[in-house]
Amino acid sequence: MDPMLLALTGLTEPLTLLTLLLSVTIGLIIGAIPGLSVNIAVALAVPLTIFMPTNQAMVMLIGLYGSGIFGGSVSAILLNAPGTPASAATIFDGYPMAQRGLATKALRLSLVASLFGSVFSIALLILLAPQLADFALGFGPVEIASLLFFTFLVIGILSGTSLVKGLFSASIGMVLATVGSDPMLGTPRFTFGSTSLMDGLTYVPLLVGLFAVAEIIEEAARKFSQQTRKFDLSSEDATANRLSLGEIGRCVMPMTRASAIGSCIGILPGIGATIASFLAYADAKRAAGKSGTFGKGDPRGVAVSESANNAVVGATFIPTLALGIPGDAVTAILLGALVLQGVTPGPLIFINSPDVVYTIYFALLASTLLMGLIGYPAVRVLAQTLRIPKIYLMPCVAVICVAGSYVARNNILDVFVMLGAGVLGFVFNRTGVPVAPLLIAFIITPPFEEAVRQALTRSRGSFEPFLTNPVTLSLAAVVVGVVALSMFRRREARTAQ
Amino acid sequence: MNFAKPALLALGLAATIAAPAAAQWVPEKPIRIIVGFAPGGGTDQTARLIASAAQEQFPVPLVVENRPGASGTLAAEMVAAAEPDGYTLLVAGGSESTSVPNHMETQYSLDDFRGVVRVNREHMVMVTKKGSGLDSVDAVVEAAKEKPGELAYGSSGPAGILHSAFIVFTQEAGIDMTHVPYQGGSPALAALLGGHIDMTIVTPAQAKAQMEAGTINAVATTSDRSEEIPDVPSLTDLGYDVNLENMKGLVAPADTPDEVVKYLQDKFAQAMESEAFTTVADRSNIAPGYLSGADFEDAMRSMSDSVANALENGGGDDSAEAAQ
Amino acid sequence: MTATRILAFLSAAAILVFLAVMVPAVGSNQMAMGSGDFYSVGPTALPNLAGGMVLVFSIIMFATSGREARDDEAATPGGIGLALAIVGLFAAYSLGMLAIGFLFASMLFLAAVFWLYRVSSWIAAAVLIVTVPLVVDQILRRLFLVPLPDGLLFN
Repeated sequence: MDPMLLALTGLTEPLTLLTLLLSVTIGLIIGAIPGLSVNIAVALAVPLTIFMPTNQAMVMLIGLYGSGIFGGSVSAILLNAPGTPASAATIFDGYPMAQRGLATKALRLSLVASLFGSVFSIALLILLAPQLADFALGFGPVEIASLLFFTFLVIGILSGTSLVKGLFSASIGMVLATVGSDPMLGTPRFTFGSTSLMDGLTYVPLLVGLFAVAEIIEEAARKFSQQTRKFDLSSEDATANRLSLGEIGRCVMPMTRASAIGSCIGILPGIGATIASFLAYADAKRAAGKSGTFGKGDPRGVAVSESANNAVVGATFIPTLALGIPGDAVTAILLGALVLQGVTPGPLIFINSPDVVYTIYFALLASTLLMGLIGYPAVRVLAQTLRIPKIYLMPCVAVICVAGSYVARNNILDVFVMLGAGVLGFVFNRTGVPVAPLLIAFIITPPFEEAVRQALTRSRGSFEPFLTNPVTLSLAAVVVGVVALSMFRRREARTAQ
Repeated sequence: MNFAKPALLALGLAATIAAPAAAQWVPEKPIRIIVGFAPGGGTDQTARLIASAAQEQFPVPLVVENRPGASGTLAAEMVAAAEPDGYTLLVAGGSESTSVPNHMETQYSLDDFRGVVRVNREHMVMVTKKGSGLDSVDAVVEAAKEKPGELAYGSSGPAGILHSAFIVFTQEAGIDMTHVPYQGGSPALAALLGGHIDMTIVTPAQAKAQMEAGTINAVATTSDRSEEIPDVPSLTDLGYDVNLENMKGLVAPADTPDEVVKYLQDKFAQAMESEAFTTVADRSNIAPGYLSGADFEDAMRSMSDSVANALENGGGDDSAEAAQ
Repeated sequence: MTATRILAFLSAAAILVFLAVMVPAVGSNQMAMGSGDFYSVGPTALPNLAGGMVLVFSIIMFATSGREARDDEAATPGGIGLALAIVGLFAAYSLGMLAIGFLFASMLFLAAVFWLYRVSSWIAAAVLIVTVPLVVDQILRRLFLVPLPDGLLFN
């Protein structure tokens, strides 16, 4: 039988469909819980798949992965606590929208954008996987380092009102990123003899601390509001929360750009969905110029962040399938699961087991569609969370944060990292220092240092490759252009005042 | 799932204390199997496979617990310091056992453990990019001698077993290559395919898949020949005294009593013969490599010693000379 | 002195210690261990760069925030005391988790927070105190097979 039909019939078996439904639902829930990331969910599901048929196993893992990232935006919008790292950029506009009573709208938009980004990248995966994979291989340490250096630029855009405070925040993030063993020699840095710190400060607890715990401390300082909040899903809000086709239309261009950025980042190894959503957000904010209300609840902010991070999902499958090299941590786990199924991933998977490839394609598409079907009615229910008085809600969120930070590595140290980050986030909020630059510097610094030093090892200490590389040079030209443009605009704004 | 409640646990404990020492040790509370790597990885899969296959043999639950961090040394430290009562086991035999402690200070050594059973052995395959001209070990050695320090090999991270294998090999061959660490074996393979490094090490399954696609040359395995890729020579065949493998097995803290280790070894050995284990192992390229606890210990020790030797004789310092 | 200035001053002071004591210690440690060599950029390069940046920007922040009015700082009501209280509770909770297990530590934490911040309905509070820790614990244990700490008392 034709492998495509074989895959389709395999997927329509009732048991497989049921598995898909369950895994998408569970993925949404896990994604929404701060501290529990998709990676953990997929990894922990692998042992369950050992004795399953291949179809069912793939559907289960892909369902968890695809829906988990959308789930992350739910708590980002409702609680100011990203459920998964990739949804951190969704906070900037999602939370302000929720504060203005537009939570349902923000969630709906997030869902639409997630679907858009997923379908965009799945289409790329099906049409262009081999070509794109070859392009990704060409990215060596010099190119990766240049790209990450370019990403530092977005710190300026994310800084808000004060550039100095933004840069201060970013440099703190960089200092925090130096904790752990040196990427080249393994020399321990600032670990104080603790093996738990050898891998550095863990990302998830830091994120949960900076956003969720900081918010809890802030609320505690205000004695936790006791009353039920006024905005709910009554009639006047329903109209405000309706998502019209026109509004979606206005987001199509930004979402397409964001999905393209997400797909490009997704095929490069070791960068990931979080950076993709930050980059797409900064790009949209810059493109909107003065016309946007980014950071104050611009719907486009939610749309670009969510389409970019979901576009990464499909894109990470490009190197995974075309080269047999996983695009990120989750696809690495998926490859492991494939091996347990007796399928050898590698460049020949298209020839040797095309049915598996089609199963993966269909599972990706089906889980995306199911996510929409389950997500849309769920949105209204989820938005009700906001009606719970904070005195009840916040302490419970605190318990979940502690549990989530602990289980990622089964390490109590991570709980203290979370608490420390919470205090830092609180202090930053009180002094008007933006938190986002710290976060993005913390994410970019380790791969940046690694790439720079890999390149220097190859060139025997010479910086010359950085000055002659075409990727570096063109990125540098873009940087100079953008900086010049923004200085020009700032001057214009000043003279206009 | 069959997790005992704290109350049950306490009961179990009380029973141990009350009953006089029985002739044969039988576990009375859940046995924790600590994995030093994240869920979903190779080590984790082996651990979960053997645990689920062995569950039938045990009267208590076998709980796999992940304590990832610092190339597995975090978990090793924890088990080295654990109560030697047979209720805490470590999945060992890879980087954390034979490689890392030779490179840097760790709060444990191989002496802190005793072997329970070796579950599998994974060959390590040295590969180069197709079309690079480096299609055999001889070609690599020749090129490296011509241009000392110019050829680069990628590893899964500093002090890991891939790094050690290259140090032992370059030391044996008397050549000088540059080390470029990556965050794991897969990024290193990607860098090789992209032409950013000249050589790296992969698993036999990876090597086979890439060879069939015509993207790489597998030049040698770092121990004996692998059944999966029988045409690839081993370094021993080629006259180099290198014998390193990525092994996975279970170890217990050093002071665990003999009867406890014996009990565990027997049960896990039975599990490895079960159908559940062999079917999955067969299907998923996990090469079973049963060894008794004592033999497993010896194997780890001899590999660790060869790494220590190479490091003492100045292996891995090549880039320092090149820099001066 | 504005809060921003205090933050700038404290971070400048902390980063001086970092640069003067901690970074050199990494350098000497690396020498002592002799774990390989490197070309132009070594393990202390990034910490020096990052630390230097913190120093520069905290000085600029200190210098400029005096002129800028306080409007940059969130003019929020609320006591620092209450904020410190919850941080203390968090810390006690995290440590307590190791001693008495996740379940009881969470229940105590919730009860303490509800009491300290004067919850209006103790019935709702009691329901949450019992159900939330239990549900979280059971989900992690049964669904994901990840055990939260049981505490030393039960081991």
